[in-house]
Amino acid sequence: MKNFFFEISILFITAVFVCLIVLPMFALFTTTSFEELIYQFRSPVILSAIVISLETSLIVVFLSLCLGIPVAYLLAMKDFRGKEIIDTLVDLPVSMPPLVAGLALLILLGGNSKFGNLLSSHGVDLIFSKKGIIIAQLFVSIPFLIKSTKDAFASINKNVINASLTLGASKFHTFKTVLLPLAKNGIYTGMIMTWSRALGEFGATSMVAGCIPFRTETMTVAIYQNAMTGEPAASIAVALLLLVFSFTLLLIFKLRIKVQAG
Amino acid sequence: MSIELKGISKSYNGRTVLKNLNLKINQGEFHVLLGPSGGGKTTTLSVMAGLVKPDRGSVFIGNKDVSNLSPDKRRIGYVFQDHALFPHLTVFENIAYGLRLRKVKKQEIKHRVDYYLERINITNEKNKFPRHLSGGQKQRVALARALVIKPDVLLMDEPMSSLDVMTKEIVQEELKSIQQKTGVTTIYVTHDHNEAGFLGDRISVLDNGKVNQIDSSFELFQNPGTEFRTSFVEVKNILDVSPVKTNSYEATVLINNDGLKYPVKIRVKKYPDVEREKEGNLKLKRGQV
Repeated sequence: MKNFFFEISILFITAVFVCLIVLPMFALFTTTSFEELIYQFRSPVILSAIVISLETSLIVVFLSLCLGIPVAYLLAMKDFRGKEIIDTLVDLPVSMPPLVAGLALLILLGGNSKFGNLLSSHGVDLIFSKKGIIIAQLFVSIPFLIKSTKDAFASINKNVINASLTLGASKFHTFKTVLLPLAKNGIYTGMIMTWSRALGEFGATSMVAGCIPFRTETMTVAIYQNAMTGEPAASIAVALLLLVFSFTLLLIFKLRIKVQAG
Repeated sequence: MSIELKGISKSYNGRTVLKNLNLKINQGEFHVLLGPSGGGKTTTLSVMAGLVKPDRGSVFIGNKDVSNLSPDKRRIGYVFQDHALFPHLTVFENIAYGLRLRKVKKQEIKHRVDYYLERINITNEKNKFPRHLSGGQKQRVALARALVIKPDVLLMDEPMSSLDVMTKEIVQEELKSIQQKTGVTTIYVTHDHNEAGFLGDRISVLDNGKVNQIDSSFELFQNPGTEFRTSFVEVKNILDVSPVKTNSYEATVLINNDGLKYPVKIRVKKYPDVEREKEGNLKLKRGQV
């Protein structure tokens, strides 16, 4: 009898969880029509938000690879004083509220700071620009790539690396021909999580880049703007598109892992 | 090429692993480092390979001081305990890896890899990935991968510890034959005294980071010396005895064995240590009884 109640409890709690995820999405899908969606996606403002989001988030994935892989390598393969501090710094943007991250970036890059002034004097204006969006998205999403890649590097058998070195490979050649191929699943996972996080970024982006249509309005900012200005149909259209993006990315990733495991 | 360690010391977090280790291995020799786990055998190999930097001392390969050379510059072959094959490469590509680094021509790579594939009897598996190989096959591929680059010195770290007895004997025979044919100086780490006796031209007994004894396998098993060496080298062939009556040439001893119903007296041929240690129990090899 106790077992029965245990099983029922588990099923009930799982059902509550499923409802928590599915009901809000169901609400999104049922409050609009297909014709309305098509109409909204033809709107130049919405189209521009989609393009800006895709453009900035893909650049962020590329920059995350360039910056994140070397950091992940350092954290996974080397022992040095202060490693824990760098490791904690990598985690910090994940636990930090995005608005706080945005505020910090705004202060650093804004016209009132020495750094911001220095950039401005060289013609680099990051605030209220696409570059600002990229920096804000990079700040909050790069930890996902670093953590995933670091775990992948750390899981590689050290003797496989040593074998490459004793066979005559330099450290860089070993990195290129052994470490990167063996860590590729971890890197792909990190890329997908980084892309999802960058696409969904709102707080830091809106603080740094504002909400200027056709210039800095991303999909998430468009959802907020339209919802606040009495245009729920536009918000729903963009929200649905983001949802489809996220779901498709996760599905492709899971199928890929399944194919490799099989 | 010969290989020599001069005054090597190494500590990890305050724990000394190698203490002023001196060891010279001659060109073409099959040398076994024998000792218990934690005795410093693997660290010794890693120092030779350049994978671990010693706190003090030098490593010479031939007449050249290689102490400051990175592993890729030392011209060594290394066979790891867990084989360490590249999981993302086929058997052929694993063996060809070192040759590609040396920019050997495609045709020559094929020729040399095929030779070893045939030599180790694994030609049919050349397109398989390591995960599809048995333990013995992985071991052979690791050996071929290390030998195909024609190293000056071959280092092997307990490479057969995961093999079953039958496979181990077959691979040991193959290894001995390949080593004799190629004449590559080989340093082989093991804690298995039978393996050491079969493979080694000479054996070093390594414990607590020091070489306790270097001898030919025949000498080592005949005269293991200290109780540690006796117990380690001949652990399966010793009798635990108490001396009863001794003189300079022979002793009468009592076998201490719980399985025996009555004490048994035996005469021991020429065992001079008996008199010195008559208070304690002794270890005797069967050949000495």
